[in-house]
Order: sequence, then C-alpha cells, then structure tokens
Amino acid sequence: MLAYHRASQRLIQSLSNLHQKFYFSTTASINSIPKKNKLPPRPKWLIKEEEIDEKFIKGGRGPGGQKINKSNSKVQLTHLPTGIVVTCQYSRSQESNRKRAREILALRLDEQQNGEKSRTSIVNERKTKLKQSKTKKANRKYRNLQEEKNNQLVENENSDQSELSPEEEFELFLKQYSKEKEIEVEKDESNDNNNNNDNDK
Amino acid sequence: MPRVSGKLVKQAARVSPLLPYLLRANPSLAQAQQELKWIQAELPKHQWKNAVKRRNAYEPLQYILESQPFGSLDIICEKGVLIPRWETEEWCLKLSSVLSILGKKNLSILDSCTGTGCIPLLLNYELNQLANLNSHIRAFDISSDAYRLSKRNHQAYSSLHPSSATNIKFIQANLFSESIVSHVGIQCADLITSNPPYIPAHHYHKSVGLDGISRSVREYEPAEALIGHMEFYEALINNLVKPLSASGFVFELGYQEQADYVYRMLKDTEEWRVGVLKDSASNIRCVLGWKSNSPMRVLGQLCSSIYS
Repeated sequence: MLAYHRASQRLIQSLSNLHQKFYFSTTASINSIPKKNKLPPRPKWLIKEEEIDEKFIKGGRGPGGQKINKSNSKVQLTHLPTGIVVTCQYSRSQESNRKRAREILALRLDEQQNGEKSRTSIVNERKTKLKQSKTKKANRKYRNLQEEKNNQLVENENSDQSELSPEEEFELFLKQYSKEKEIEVEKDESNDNNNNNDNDK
Repeated sequence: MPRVSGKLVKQAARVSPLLPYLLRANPSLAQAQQELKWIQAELPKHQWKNAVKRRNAYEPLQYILESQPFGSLDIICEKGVLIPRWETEEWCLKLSSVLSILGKKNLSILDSCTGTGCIPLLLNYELNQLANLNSHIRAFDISSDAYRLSKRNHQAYSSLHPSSATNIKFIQANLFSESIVSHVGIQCADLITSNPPYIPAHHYHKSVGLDGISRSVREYEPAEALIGHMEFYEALINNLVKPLSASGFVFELGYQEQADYVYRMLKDTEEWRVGVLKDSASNIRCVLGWKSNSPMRVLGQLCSSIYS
C-alpha cells in the first residue's frame, strides 16, 4: 500500500514536471524575439582577400580616363572557392560599394555555412516574429476595443430602459409618498391599538 | 549618339515621369534608374526636374550634384574644372597603399595640374590622416578656376580633418614657365604626381568610336584640362623632376606612345627605371619612374610592365 502510494506520488510529480517543462518551452519559443543588440555579428571574418576576385564594371570596355566620364562604379566580387558572385552599385562611391559588396558576400557565405544559425536567417526570423507580435498586439487591442464598444452598447440599452419621463418619475414619487403615508397611518393605528391595550390594562 | 527608342521612353515613364529625361545620357533603364535615385537622394525635391533636364542635355552628373566621391573623400565639382575619374582614384589609392607600407616619414610630394585637388587631398588623407607619415604636399594648377576650386576643396577637407589639413598647400602656377620651381617654393621633392591633359587635339573632336571622347566631356568639361600630348610629359620631366631632383614620379596618361616618350627621355640616365600601370579596365593609365637606389623603387610594385 505504501509502495503504491509512493509510486503514484512520483508519477504525479513527473507529470507536473513535464507539464511545467512543456509550459515553459512554449512560452519561451513564443516570447524569444532576439534582441537587436544581441544578433550574431556581421560575419566579416569569412572574407579573405586572397579568395576574392574583384572587378570594377564601368559599362563595358573601350576608352577611359579623361575621354569618358562614368558616374557608375559597380563592384563585382567573385568568391573563388565557392563561385558565389556578388555585385553592388548602390552608391556613387566606389569605396563604399567595395565595402558593401564585401558585407553582402560575407552574409551569403554565412548563409551557406551556418544555415539556420546564420545572421540573415536569425535577422529574418526576428523580423517575422516582430511582425507576428505586432499583429497579435494589434488584434488584441482591436478585440478589446470592440468588447468595450459592445459593453457600452449593452449598458446604453439598459440605461435606456431605466430612463423615465418626468411624469412617470412624478407618479413614481407619488406612489412612494403615498406608501410612506400609509405606513405612517398604520404606525398611528398600531400606536392607537397599543394605547387601547394600555387602557385595557 | 543613338536615338532613344520610343518603347524605352514609355517603359521609363511608367516608372517615373522624371526617368525619360535620363535616357539620353544612360543607354540602359537600370542605369537611368540608378542615376535618378542618386539625384533624388542628394538634391531637394524642387530641383529634381531641373536636374534631369540638365542631364538630358548631356551635362555630367557630377556638375549637377556638385560632387564626386574620390576614395574616402567627397570632392566638390564645378563647371570649368575637370571631374575626377575613377581611374585616377584607383591609382591614387594604390600609390598611397605602397607609400603607407613603405612608411617613410616627411616625404615631400608635388602634384602638377591638380584641377579639383583630388590627388593631393586623397594622398594627404591616406598618408597623413590615416598613416600619420607627416608628408609635405604641394599642388598647383595654371587655371584660376581650378585654383579657386582646389582652395574650396581644401577648406572642406580641413573642416573634416583639421589635424592633417596643414600639410598641404595649393598654388597657382604654370608648368611651362621657366621659374616654376621658385614659384612653387620648394628646393627638392621626393615624388611628383600629375594628371596632365593627355588627349591629342586630333582625337578631341572625334566620337568615342573613333578614338575620340564622349559628347558630355567635350561639351561640358574644360578643353584646357583635356587637350595635351608629349609637351606636358616633357615639361614635367624637364621643369619638375630634374630641377627638384625627385626620386620618383607617377603621371597619368592615355596612350602607350606617351609612356614610351617618357622612357626615351630617361633612357640614357643610369639611375632611372620606368614602368607602366594598367587600370582595372586593362587600359594603360600611368607611367611611373623611380631612381633604383632610392626608397621610391617601391613604385615598381605598381607596374604591370617595366621598360628594360
């Protein structure tokens, strides 16, 4: 009997543990939006200059220098070991395009090497989670607003019923007044009765 | 210039009413869109329309936006002064990288035909602001427009990097004058740099397909900064390199024969070595020279071929 009791207790405990674990893990996965300052760093260390072939594309061959004035400064990087090609021409400055192209290439290499743990996928995950929580919050807000509205409507209906015209109110007052009078009359009567009783005594 | 097709104009107009204006200067839609993005990013909204109209008349984007990135610097551009080219930026950065690795302090550098002042300012930034080499840089140009603009660029530079701005000085002077050395005010220099006019007059009026130059350059950039040939290289060697007993030089150029000419001028002196540098479009871009017993022999690392 004692053994059975212990066994059942253990079972209950393990069940509650399991429940706790389960409960904990679900809330953790929902709430764990990675902090912006705790994202994995930009994987610049993946860039090795000797593994890169860099080209500046100025719109084809032909004369250059003083003869032509090109404003675009597209940078194309080829990562020799993997064959990944990246281009960048967002800025007029070749320097910043070179830097940016290296950042893009580093992210691409990171994606290839680390898959789900790469910076891009974590950043994207963060974005979707933020969006989800935003829509969730918005839904909650509008649900609450709607509920409040509904409640107000009900209240208004109720108060509409309880509202009386002045005449009705007057009647009500009269009724109450007459009732009070009656009670007073009754009281007097009872007093009288008492007196009578006294007299009887 | 090929005519812009109606189809392309319609396609562009669907994206933005400003975009069709940019098609004459940019053959592809993607390029035109890129330019429009830059115009919209750098100019206030009420100037956009005027900007695209100017671009439609082949005016260089750098005159419209009044600037051109050059290395880590932003160089102010004005009509009347040549716009810095990416090829110049490229060799300037290569040059400053070998000089930074060399690490020699107190170098004296002179830049001739400086224009906007882009070459000395970038060298100053790389050598004195970043590598802390305390080089002394002087630069001159014959044009008063260029001189004024280089002073303006110097001012803009000193507001951003005041600690290294005092290492550089701009002067107005004529490369061909006999008293140029005394005018510049230095007795000797280690390195002479220059981007002189190097387009021969007979190529200046031809189109790009015929070894000529683009319409935008011919119509808007100053001819005095473009038309030139052997006489400039001769003057650079005879009026600067030799009297200042320089031990190295880097001159931009556009033709193999200009490099050959410089080599022939120095062939008979034992101490000089001469080589050429190609840009990343594999066009010949610079002639370099150095005294083989001087620290400037590091310039040899930049050459794709060396005369022997």
